Amino acid sequence: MVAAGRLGNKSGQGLLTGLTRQKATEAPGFTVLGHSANFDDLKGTGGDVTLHLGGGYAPDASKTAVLVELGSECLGQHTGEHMGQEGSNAVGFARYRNGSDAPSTLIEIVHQPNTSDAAIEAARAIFEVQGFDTVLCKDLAGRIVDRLVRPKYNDALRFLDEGLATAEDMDKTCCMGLGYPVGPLARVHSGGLAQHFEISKALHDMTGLPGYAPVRRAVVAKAAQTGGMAKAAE
Amino acid sequence: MTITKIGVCGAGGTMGAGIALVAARAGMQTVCFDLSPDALARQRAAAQKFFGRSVDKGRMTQGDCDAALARMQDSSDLNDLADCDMVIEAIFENLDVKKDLFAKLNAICKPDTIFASNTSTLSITQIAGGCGREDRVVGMHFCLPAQVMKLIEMSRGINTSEEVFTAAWDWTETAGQIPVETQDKPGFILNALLVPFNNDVLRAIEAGLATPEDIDTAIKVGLGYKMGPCTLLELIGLDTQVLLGEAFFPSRWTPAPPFRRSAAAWWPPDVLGINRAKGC
Repeated sequence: MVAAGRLGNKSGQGLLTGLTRQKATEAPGFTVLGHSANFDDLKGTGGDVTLHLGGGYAPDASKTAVLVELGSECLGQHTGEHMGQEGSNAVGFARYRNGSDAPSTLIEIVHQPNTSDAAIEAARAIFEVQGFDTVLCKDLAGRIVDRLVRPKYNDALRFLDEGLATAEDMDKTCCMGLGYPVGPLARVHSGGLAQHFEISKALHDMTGLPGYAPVRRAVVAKAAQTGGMAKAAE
Repeated sequence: MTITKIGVCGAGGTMGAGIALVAARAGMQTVCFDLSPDALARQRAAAQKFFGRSVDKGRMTQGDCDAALARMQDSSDLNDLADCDMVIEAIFENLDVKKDLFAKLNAICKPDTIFASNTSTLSITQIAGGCGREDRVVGMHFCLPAQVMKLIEMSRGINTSEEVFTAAWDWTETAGQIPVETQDKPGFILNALLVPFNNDVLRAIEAGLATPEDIDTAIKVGLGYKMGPCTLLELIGLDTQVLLGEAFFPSRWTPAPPFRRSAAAWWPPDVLGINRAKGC
């Protein structure tokens, strides 16, 4: 874990908060509705939490929490939003996976401004007891990982077009210089350039930020996929 | 062209000292230049300690250690670099300062001396411009700590000759390093990908997306990175991140205005008690 309070922030001492969180060892019972390839082994035990897989959602105020599996969409698209005051017992979640790669153990838990603490804690506990690692984030486009990493993949793909270096040298630089297990170009190709296009486009549509705009190689891959042409680029 | 004698400018700093260790360890006569004799003395002690640990770990013999240290000559006189085959500068990251140094070295060094710059963000072509031997200037960006990290980003300026680039490239391999070739563009490969990523991380924190701890966890677990970006930023130093961002052209690569304020408020000097990596 990171060292406590080296940079601090709220106290004016720095960036890291120094706050650490112990993983939950107990979780409330839950009922699973729907199906998702990301959670083949998740079996409900029955209880006060409803867990919607595959994008479904039905509000139920009688529950401690209603958990909604998210794709690239925001939780607000299911629950509705109003003047920044939205929030209930509905909590979003997504198991991170790089495109078509195998899913990771990371669960991004998504909350709204007025999501109840009990609902958030229930969500974290359910997934942590199942062996997942959870992080909590606001209901913003791309959540944490895709929000941060997709612009980097776009940069790497653009640099490749611009001739900055070979793909091999760019990946080697990141692996040797930054300790990445896989370079950004190998990673984005592994997950699929067409998948990257879809995720980047969704982020760009929601944020309007140029860093998310799908770059040429992703556009080409998506066009090849859509048009049924040979996917030589991948 | 065979390179057997190296000069390192800025050898009193962390990066320059590491480069000098690489050169001396590889069997090169190494002139360690710095304007500060005190800084050179500190790095001399650090070099003894580093090579001593290498002996303890069986990576080199005591004889090799003694020979490497003997090959390192400290100097605060630029004239001592006159007969070096290659001079590598690792001085302050400022275009005018680097240009001034190469212009002075051009008047001192033998005609075929290669000038290499360890700049992480500046243009090799611009650094070389007007120095008098633009064809003999090459980019050679080491990673911190240079004596441990093998990677070197090699770039050529518009006027760099093929002979010079090849000679410098061959030297890195002789010294046991691993070169990659990149164009002469801001940040080369590593910082061109890392600096905007770090700026995006800081923007996410400022937007309240998640805590820095959860951002680190997400990146480590989701992508398998050894270190989370917030912890890395702590090592780099927020002040250095601002400088790196400002070295690039205005875009999302530039630190957001709120972050400039935050960096000033969150980063009192020397509060970490850890070795902050400068000049990455």
